[in-house]
Order: sequence, then structure tokens, then C-alpha cells
Amino acid sequence: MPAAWILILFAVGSAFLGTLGGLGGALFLVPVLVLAGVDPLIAVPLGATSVVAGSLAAGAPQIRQGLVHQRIGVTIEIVAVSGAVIGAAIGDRVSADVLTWVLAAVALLAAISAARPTAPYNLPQGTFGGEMGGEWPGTLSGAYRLGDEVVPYQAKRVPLALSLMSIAGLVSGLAGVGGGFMKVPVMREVMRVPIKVAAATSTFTVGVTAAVSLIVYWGQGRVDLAGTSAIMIGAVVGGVLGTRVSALLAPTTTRRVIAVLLAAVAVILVVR
Amino acid sequence: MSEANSAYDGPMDPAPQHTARIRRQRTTAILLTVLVSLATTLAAVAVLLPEGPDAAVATAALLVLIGAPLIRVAWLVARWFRLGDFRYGVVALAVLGVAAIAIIV
Repeated sequence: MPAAWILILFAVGSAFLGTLGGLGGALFLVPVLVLAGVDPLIAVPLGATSVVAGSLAAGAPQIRQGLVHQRIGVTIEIVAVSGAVIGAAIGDRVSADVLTWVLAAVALLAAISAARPTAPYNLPQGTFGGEMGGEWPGTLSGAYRLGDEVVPYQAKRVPLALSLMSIAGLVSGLAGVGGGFMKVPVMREVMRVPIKVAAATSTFTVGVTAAVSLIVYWGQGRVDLAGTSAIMIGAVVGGVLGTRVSALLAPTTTRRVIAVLLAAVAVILVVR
Repeated sequence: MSEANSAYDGPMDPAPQHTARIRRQRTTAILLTVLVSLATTLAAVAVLLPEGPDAAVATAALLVLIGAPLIRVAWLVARWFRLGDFRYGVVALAVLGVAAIAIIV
């Protein structure tokens, strides 16, 4: 295991890049740790640690902005968490080589997800002018404020989305990544939830998924306590830095750069 | 225009449910900030401590980290049951149920 300060640096860099791309830090962290010689079985729980820390650090501002739809979040979490428990449980029976291939596939999928262009499905509607934004009680609907306007939305095709979310959870538990790179596109393309709400709700849900995965990893004896402390510090610092810098950069260019970096990570993992 | 009618032309005051929602959001945000600060502080102490005593502090940091998202879900369960939103209260409770199964696994 690398020294604590190296782990902190890895986590800061990964969380910073992950936050810039809106994908979470573990997508970079777990492959980087594996490339640095850490056993994938140990690297995966460290990735999950960074996911929970990043989710918590980003959670407060997103809640204040009224962007998180917590009812959609818990609804998708039933299947995502179940998938994650299964993924984490079978993770220690999978060989390091297979896990490395899974990580490479995940990085490639995330690269594709980051590179895809996005266009809004939900448009502002004047009749909702008095609405402050947020979720509507008892439903999977809500509204969010876009400048002076209000954009209402309603989650669609929930059963299809739930089946896809279970795969996201399985991948998350197996590879120690957040799964946001799958959850956000599913929420956007299948459920037709606005991208900002989908991203914020995903940030909430990946924290829950990764926390439950960590419980399983801990029971399997795969958690390196010293490593998790270092990763926790780095993930929070990198996440905060990434949030501040992302406001200054063009989102499309940033996501394309992140996509190229993720594709490079996938290739390096396969050919090393 | 009468005074009663002109009242409808001005900007609307935040509805009581909006004020309550803002208060709930603020409380949840504060709770999360406290938990993440606590976990990070414990983690920093664990990194700085020599080998041996660091394990107990690192364990505490990890427990706070794992517990924080689950506390948030538990908070939602309590809030939704209190508001009479039983359907999503049960859904959130089921998420906690799966987390409990993870402990057994």
C-alpha cells in the first residue's frame, strides 16, 4: 500500500477530476491505485470510501439549492443497493484480472457517458412561476428553478429505469465506483429527469450505495483502515476544489477532456 | 382597483409550505456538513497518529462515513411518516432493510 500522503494526493486528484466531469472520483481512483500496485480487492473499498466522502461533501450545497429529488433517490436505491450488495458479495470471489477488466470496461463506459452531448427534455413553464423548486410530496415529480423560470418534471418509465439501476448498483458494488456515470444517463434519458436534478440526485444515491457496499467489504476483511482515512481526506479536499474550479470552466470541454482521460485509463488497464 | 384586488398584483409571499421546506433543507444540509466534518477530522487525526492508536480513530471515522448516508435515509423515513407520505416512507425503510442485510452478508 502506498504511503498515506501519496494516497491523499491520488484521492485529491481523482476527486478533483471526477467532480469537474460530474462523474465522481472513484472512476479515476480505483484504476490509478491498481496501476500503482494495490490489489484490486483492496483498491475497490478505497474507491467506495472516496464515493461516500464525495457524496457527503457535495450533498449540503445541492440540498440547499433544492436540486435533490429524495423520493426518486430512495426509489432507485432499493434496487441499486440490492445490486451493490450482490456485487460486493461476489467481488471477493472474482480474480484480480477479471476485476481489472471490469474496471477497464467501467472506465470506457463512463468515457462514453461523459462524451455524449446532452439536450434538455424539460423546458421552463410560466404557469409554475410561484413554485420555489424542489420535489412534490408523495410523487416522483417536482420542479427546479432555472434563473427566473421554473422547470417542472415528472419521472417516467420507472420500471425500466429500476431494472437499469440494479445493474448500476451491481457494477458499483463490484468495482467500488459510484455508478453515477450510469445513474445520471438513465435518470435523464429513461426517466426524463432534468440533468441538474439527475446529477444532484445521483450524488445522493451513490453515497448510500457505496456506504452499503463498504459494510459488505468490511465484513469480508477487505477494508484497509489507514488507507480509508487518507482517501477520505483527499476525496473531500479534491471534491471541494473541483466544485470551485468547475464553475470557472466550460462544462462541455471539461467533460470531453475527462472522457479522453477515462478512455486512456481503460486502455492502460487492459494493456499493462 | 380596490385594495383587496391590488394584493394579488404584488409579488407573492413564500407560502408556509415553502418556508417549512427551506427550513428542512437547511437542517439536512447542516446535519450533512457536521457529519462530513466529523468524519474528515477523525480521518486526519488517524493519519497523524502513530500506528496502534490510529486504528481506533480510523474505525470511528469509517463508522461516521458509512453511517452518514444511512442517517440521512433514516431522517427521510421519519419525516415522510410524520408528513403522512407512507408510500415513500416504506420505500426508504426498505433501503435501510437492505443495508441491514448487508451487515449479515
